[in-house]
Amino acid sequence: MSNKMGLAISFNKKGFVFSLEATLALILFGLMLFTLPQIQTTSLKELAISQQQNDLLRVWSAKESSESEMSTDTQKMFGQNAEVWVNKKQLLPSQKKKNALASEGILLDEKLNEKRVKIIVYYE
Amino acid sequence: MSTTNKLKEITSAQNVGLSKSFAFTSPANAKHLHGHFLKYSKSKGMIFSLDAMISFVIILICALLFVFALNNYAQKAEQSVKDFELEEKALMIADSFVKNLDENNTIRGAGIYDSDKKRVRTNELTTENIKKAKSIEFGEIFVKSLTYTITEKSQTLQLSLKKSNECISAKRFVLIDGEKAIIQILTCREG
Repeated sequence: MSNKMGLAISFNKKGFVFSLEATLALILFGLMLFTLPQIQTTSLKELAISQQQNDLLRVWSAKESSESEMSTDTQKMFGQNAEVWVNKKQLLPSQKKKNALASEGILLDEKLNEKRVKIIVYYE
Repeated sequence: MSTTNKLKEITSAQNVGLSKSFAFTSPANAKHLHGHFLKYSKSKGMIFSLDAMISFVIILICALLFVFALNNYAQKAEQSVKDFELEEKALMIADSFVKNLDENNTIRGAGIYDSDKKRVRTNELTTENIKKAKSIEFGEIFVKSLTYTITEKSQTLQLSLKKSNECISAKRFVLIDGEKAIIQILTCREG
């Protein structure tokens, strides 16, 4: 038993030992790497999406469109990444639920019937 | 004179600003004290240990890594600014194209002017206006082509033949001659 203890102690002596200075130096080095400035990639993706949503609403207000046409137009612009709601009725569903950007507009037909249209676009 | 006295003499000579050689009065004395002088000089010397050398090398490597990281950061930041500029110009040109009217170069605006309302009808264009479009440049950035698709029929107007590797396409939904259409403006950086 005592022999085994002795072996264990000698094994410990061969181990990797950091002095206080070395530990502090490693911590400081780690902090230095951690505090390096990170690049903030700026993108105008949200602006582009909101412009496209606005386009759809403007075109639908200038040219009367049926619900199926609205779905087709939205799919042409955003593929499967968008949802369209008309008066709280979902016309076009989307499986993606990531970052979302929504635009809403009120369209009036010839008889001044109100259509509340909401377009929700999901993006990476 | 004893060795101890000679050493005191040297020390006192150094204290008043004299060099070590002036402390000896004769070459014989200097020879006599040679061994002690070496000991004295060693005790004042600089010891450059292996530890110090290794730590110095580590500091240099750290400084080098830091400089590389900064350089990398600066290059990425520069590229990020360039990408942002291209994206901003592409969106600006496409937005101007569907919202304004400039009869000299309709890439700046191809909308329909409504004389009753005294304003341009946004997102409503004509093929006649679209076909008048010419390329415009903002430094290295230029408009390369314009594609419009009306009921699955697509037409592309090549506005510039310059070569480019970086391009961004801005897509807009409009009415062209009263029909729903999609417009794509390809904006590129020269090079």
